[in-house]
Amino acid sequence: MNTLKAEFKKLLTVRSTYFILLIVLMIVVFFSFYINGWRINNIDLHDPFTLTNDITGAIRFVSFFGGFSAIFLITHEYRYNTIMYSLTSVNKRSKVLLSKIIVITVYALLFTLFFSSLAPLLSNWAIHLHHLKLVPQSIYYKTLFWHVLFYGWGYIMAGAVIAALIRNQVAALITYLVAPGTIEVLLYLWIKNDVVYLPFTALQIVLTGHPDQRVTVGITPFHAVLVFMGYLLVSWAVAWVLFLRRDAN
Amino acid sequence: MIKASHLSKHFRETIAVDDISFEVETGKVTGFLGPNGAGKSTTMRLMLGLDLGGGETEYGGKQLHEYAYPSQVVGILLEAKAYHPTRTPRNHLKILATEGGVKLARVDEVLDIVGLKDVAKKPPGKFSLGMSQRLGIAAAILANPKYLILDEPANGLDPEGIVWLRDFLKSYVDKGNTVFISSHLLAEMSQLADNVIVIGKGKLIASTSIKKLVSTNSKSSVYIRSSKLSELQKALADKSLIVKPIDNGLEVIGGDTDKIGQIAFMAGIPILELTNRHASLEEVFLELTENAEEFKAHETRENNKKL
Repeated sequence: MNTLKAEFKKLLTVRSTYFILLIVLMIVVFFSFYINGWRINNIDLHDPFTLTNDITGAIRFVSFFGGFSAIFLITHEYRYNTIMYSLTSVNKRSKVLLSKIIVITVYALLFTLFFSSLAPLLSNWAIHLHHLKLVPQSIYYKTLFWHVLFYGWGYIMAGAVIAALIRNQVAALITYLVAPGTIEVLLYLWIKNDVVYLPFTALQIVLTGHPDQRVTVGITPFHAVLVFMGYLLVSWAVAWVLFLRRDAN
Repeated sequence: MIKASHLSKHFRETIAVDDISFEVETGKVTGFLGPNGAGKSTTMRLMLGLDLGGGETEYGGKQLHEYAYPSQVVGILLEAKAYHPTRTPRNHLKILATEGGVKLARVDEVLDIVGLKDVAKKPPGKFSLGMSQRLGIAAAILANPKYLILDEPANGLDPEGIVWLRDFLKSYVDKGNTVFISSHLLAEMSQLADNVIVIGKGKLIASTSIKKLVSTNSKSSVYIRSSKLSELQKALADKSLIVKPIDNGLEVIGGDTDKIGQIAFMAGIPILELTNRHASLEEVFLELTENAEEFKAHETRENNKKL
């Protein structure tokens, strides 16, 4: 429990955590309030999925930036060598890694929940201020809730596991930036439709695999969850073994 | 007592620590000496389980992982700047206190002890090396551990800071605690440490008290002055002692003051001065590690010319 508390404190006592929160807040305000709300076009005003699209659109940015916090929580320990304190304060190394995973999970869920709630509120508010009115919205609350939460958690966890495997801050950040956007896009040229079995593409399907859009992808969101979890669990297993067996620097 | 047994560490082909065993006595300051690259830091990391290699280390009869809160047993300072630059010293120590099961009120106490109370809420990113060392010392003593393992804690400290550190560590061991400290400041170490462990190229060279190390070293000698120097020199040489004229007197190697005084008395030679001349710790260290230096500057005339 002490290790867990300490990990929370680590996350909340560095400037980067608040800097990332501020950037995400600014992005959400800009896109949700200004672009999707204040400057909403006539087509979107009459689209029953405008708010759903606003949430899923916002959560992509939010999760991406949230992943940086996870990367920093892990790699700062190695960059500034505070890992020596973390490991000599506990009697089992596993406690440290488990605490980090729990803290990142809680952070990811709260982070995703907060911004996915804020985005539609802001856009709705801006539309109201502009004296406009949206058509009645079709929101599949239950489905949307778990899709958004899983996507947010998954993306941030992906950042965490990359950091745990690589440990070097710069290398982890580069991998995190390159893996979803570049590597999987390049692999698509080679494996074509099987790209849905790659982790970030699968995660994307979880978010966009909305009941009304499921026909557009090769696997269902549920299968996409299984694909992504497979990658995540194997990666964490490797990271765990390395965490126990590598020198702490 | 800290008991390190068969510590070893290999980096591919390189042997960093080669089957080292030693004991660090309770209630004493034990210096850990060795040239650059000798394996001091790696040994300390092995002792703490930070580096994974062979051997084991017991603290008071138990290994660290057998304690519920290892940081309450051993306090460490292995690197001065081991803190996040935007996390205030107070928050840094609060995190360590939480991890180590220590009351948060202790944080302000240790900040006061090391003299960082005024900067407790300032980001330490621009701290000098000396201030960083003080923060590292605060972290080490936070849980009031029985054992301290400090790697070059005096680096970057000003003279006042060094005196403070010396006094602090002496008072710390006076309370029955144990300090294991590495340093390159040999003069400082000779004032501070009771015992010394010397390693070179990953191997144990010596593990003894400083007094014993210095007195048994070949460079220890006796200085004697007399009005009949030539007669005295002959009398001492007759007893198979090595005698060299030095500073209006003689340097005698191979005998103590009792023996030399007795020889002079028996020969009826008046003595004006008779003193032990111990080699300094620096001289002893250099002699012990002569062939164990990993990185050595070769001062040749040619090299000097290039400069």
